[in-house]
Amino acid sequence: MRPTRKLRGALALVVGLSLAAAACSDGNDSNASSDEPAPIESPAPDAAGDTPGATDPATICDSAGLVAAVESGPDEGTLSGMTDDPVATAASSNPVLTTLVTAVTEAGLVDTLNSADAVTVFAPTDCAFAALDPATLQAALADPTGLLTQVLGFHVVAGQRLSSEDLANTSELETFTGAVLPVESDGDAITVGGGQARVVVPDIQTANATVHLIDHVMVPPAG
Amino acid sequence: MRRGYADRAPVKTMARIDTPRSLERVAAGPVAVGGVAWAQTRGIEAVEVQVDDGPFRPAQLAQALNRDSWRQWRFDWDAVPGRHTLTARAVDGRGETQTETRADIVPDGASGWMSLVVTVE
Repeated sequence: MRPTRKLRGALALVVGLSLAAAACSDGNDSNASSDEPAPIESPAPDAAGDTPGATDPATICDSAGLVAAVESGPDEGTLSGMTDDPVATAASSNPVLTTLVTAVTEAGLVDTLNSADAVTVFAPTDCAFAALDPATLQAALADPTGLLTQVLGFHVVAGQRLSSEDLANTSELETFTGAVLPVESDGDAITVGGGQARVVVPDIQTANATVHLIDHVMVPPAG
Repeated sequence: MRRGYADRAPVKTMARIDTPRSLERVAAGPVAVGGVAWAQTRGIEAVEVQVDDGPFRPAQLAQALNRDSWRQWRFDWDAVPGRHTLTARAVDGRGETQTETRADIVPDGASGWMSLVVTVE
């Protein structure tokens, strides 16, 4: 009995200490660890679009323009700045993903995306959301755990980080809602969702996800 | 480098879900939901777990080492097939429930109830 109890105590102590160490390292900004108690970080709505004279992000649609906008935004939202933040946090610093971040927040999926071990996200840009029928967007936002989650979930593949190279060798992916996402590639061009969207900026790395910016919001197949 | 932290930032009461993992697929039936909770200087009195829109129900707590250590908790969930949201919150030693209001890390620490989605098959 006794040794067991002692051992358990010792283990608990070790666990406690390593957790405390993880907590301490949180203050150390250069190295955001996956243990940080940050799942609960909410997107900062003021992070984007405040630059005087900034172009309306919804009008930035082409690859070069998107990359330029991302690189001229806040440091944490640049291609290199996003690598150490979990995906929803990283997206919230990004100037061309403001509508997506709002939708993810409304759906209550910020923690889910931030704390997932590995994910692939097809992220519709603000330009993509602008092309969506406003009535569809409103209907989705009005049903956050239903339609909105169904639509957003169709853009997320859980459990793996797929690069554009991986996508080129894939014909379909199972999304986290269970719906199957068709993938087609022709040379460098990658199309997803049965022709619904094109990858405009591939292979953006965040701490826990690989993100591909796409030019249209995809609607999952009925049923 | 992020700037703008507050001079004083007492640790906020927080419960974290460590298992199952976010977006994980788990088998229907008994599933152990578990994690840690902390409220340094006040201690953890309870952790409660909510499944989807159901009521918050108490989790079991591991023995407290002291008021400052993280406290492990466990919740036995009878999982039924489908997509489910798990939410956890803690109650500190003063009987105060963790705030649901979300705050960013800057200036004085993140807050809000952690939730994650899992698929039960």
